Amino acid sequence: MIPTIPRLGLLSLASFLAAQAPAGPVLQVRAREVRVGDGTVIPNGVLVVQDGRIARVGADIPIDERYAFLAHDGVLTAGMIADHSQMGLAGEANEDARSVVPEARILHGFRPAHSAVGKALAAGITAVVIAPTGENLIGGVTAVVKTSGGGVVDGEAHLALSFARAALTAGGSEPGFFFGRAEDPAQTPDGGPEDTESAVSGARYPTSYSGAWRELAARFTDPAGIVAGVARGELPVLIEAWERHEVERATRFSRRFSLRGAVRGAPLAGDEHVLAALRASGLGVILGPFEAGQTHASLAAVAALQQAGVPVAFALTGRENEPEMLRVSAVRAVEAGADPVLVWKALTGDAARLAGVEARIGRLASGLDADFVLWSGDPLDLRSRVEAVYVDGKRAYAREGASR
Amino acid sequence: MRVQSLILPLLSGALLLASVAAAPLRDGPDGDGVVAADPPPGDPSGAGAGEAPASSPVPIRGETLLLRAARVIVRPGREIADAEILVQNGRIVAVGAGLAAPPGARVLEGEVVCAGFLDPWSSLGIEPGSAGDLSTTPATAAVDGVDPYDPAEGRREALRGGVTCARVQAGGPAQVGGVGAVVRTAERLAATPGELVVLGDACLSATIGVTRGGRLLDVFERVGEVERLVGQIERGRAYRESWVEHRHDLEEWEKKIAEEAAKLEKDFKKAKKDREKEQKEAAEKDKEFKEKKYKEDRKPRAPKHDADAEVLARAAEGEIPLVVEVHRAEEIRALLAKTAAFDRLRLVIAGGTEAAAHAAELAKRRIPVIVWPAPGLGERPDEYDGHDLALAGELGRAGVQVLIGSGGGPHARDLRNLAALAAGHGLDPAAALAAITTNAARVFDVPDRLGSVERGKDAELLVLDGDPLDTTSRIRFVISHGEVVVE
Repeated sequence: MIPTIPRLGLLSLASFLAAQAPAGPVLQVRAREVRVGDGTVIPNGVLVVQDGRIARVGADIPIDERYAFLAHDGVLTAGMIADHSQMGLAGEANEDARSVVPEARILHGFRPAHSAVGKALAAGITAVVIAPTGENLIGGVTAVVKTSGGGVVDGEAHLALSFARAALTAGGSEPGFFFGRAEDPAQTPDGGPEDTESAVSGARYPTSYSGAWRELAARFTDPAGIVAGVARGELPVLIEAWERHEVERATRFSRRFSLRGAVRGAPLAGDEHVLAALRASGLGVILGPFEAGQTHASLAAVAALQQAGVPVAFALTGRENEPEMLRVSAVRAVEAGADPVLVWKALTGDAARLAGVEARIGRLASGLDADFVLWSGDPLDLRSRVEAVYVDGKRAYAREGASR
Repeated sequence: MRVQSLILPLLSGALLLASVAAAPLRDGPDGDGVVAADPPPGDPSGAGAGEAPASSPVPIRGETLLLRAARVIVRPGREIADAEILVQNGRIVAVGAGLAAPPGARVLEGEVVCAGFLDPWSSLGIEPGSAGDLSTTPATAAVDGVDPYDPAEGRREALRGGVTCARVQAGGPAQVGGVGAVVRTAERLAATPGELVVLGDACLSATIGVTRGGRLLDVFERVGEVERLVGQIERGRAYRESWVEHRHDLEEWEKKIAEEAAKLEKDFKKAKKDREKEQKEAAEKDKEFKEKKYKEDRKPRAPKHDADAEVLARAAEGEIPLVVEVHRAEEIRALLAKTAAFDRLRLVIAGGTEAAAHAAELAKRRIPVIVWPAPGLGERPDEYDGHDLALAGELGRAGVQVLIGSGGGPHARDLRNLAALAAGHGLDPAAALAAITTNAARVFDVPDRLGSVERGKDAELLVLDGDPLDTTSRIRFVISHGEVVVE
């Protein structure tokens, strides 16, 4: 794999060069409101796109009449990022026979022309993290892909690990993920010494939480292949963990081996014990999608995590055919008390950060990919609709009947 | 005289029966269906509306509240700027600009005040076994399934989402779910049915072609269910007719009996003489005296009481709406075709995944559609395939009256989000708000009590810091039954 840091260097050099010499098509967009992504709102802001990248963003940028210009009576934001999904994988998201498949590349299963990908685009999602399900102890390497043009932002985004119960069962005989199940208030923070009830005896090793820990610890103590890159801190992890004790195991494990990355699941991340463990680990949390019947505790977790400074992003797992769920999940979090500015960051900039691609996407800033959405109004107002979506500076979607 | 003394008790008994059968059952079981001093709707800001009554004829219960907002949405499309609403005794007693707070009143302020949301499709507070019961019949009453010990969390969540009332239903997936009710959401009221229930008989519900207990019906079974439902409505109509006929027959019979009695009365002396003469003759001839028999018509027999048929009759005659959950275009087509002859039937379609195919007819026949479901309800049964809130926009543009329901207990808090999404899908914003306020109240026969901010209406109100359907605005206060239940 290409180490992350030199790659970033290449990128910024490329954007620097691009800014110096206008060499490609230029598009200028003025919107009633440009939301940069860090809470800054530019009224009547202008975004200049050049060669598929954002060249400039600001209030007082003169329109160059030689180039294409678009005025939008609405809100312009960066495209949203779903930080966990099995979009476009057509069922090829996990390995049934073996529990440990570190070298598997999820990207090989991705079909850019899958209908769900187009739906996501139309909902204002310009990039998704595609990841294996939590049914494999080590599920392989995740990827960040765009929802238009088949572009790959990062073919090696994280190594997917799982401390979830689903990894302990035989070939996914138990439902893999269900955001509600782990919300049972009766479960104890540590889940008991062995949690024998959930240590379901399956045909596949390991069959217990302690077995899972031993297996993973062995691989990280004497790392080889891609695990070695993870152990060196070059590649982040994405750890699936749902119940409180699973999250605690995940955080303890990542501290022990100095891993960085994020926990996927953790509906009760707002619980003070879970929150303390997460904060100490430095891991981010990928929550959702929040179903209609989600408990208040899950919804309030977003606010609690954000107040504690833990980065949050949203998943679309299991709801790939309802991409509107990403925005609805965010709105549900706002209703439960989360700050709208931070929630919007969770859908964009923080999502990019947790996927390790903040230098490419997630904000409106010079040098970043020109992936943006023209909304009819505030994107966290569910009345607002997507009018048009641009990916790499090209119009990838326009609403039927929209003015352009 | 013997004849008369026989007739009278029978007669009064029959009359009593007939009057029971004929009595309208519009009042809820709490007997609270009548609003005192209800003003003509639609003129809250006009002259006179701005003054609070100096004294209330009924003792004041609960808080006296004065709500003040920059924008009071009386009903979707009708607003008053910088106005106040006075709440006393659980009712709105005045709406207008420049109202002063009476002594002791609590003043609540916000940007916007609108009516509390009414979820037209819910099972909130219904005991789960009853909500999913497949063996319900037309006479099953949802109010009987209200669980006062229901976990309060769902109710609280609904209130946080601004849903103060809901049309609830037992036997959701059953072929006939029974009589639905409009109830309040507030948890405090759950144990006091009188305050909880706004209208005990808000509708009759039924389903066609829905997956029950995981079993998918084939096409013949599904269309067969249309036939069966129409047969049920016919049964109700026939039952009602049999009672009407019976009453008619009874009247005829009573008339005849009365005539006969009058005749007897008139001829009484002669008849007495004749009888005495005959008696005497019989004694002389040593014969047995035979009493002359009066032949009278047999009294018409009342039809056998049938509680199910009675409810079906009320639906058939349009006394209560009939809500039918039906999704596929073919089943909707069959239902529309087969119910066209029932000119009083007030049909309401629920779900309606493929209802857009019949939008023109739905609009023409003024059949409302309750659009469901919430995004993210898990695996949906087959009939929901392709269903999303774009349906609301499509139907709305075609002139169909759209209601938006949450479809179940814990989802009620999402009602506002659903209405907002529907607006995002092209449903007119005023229609989207009406879908969870005024129109929902109208369809379920409670427009005199819920759905709008007018004098005399129940105090079910929201104070917000922005437009009710703007999901970035917060609901600051929720008032139900005249009390602040969320703040």
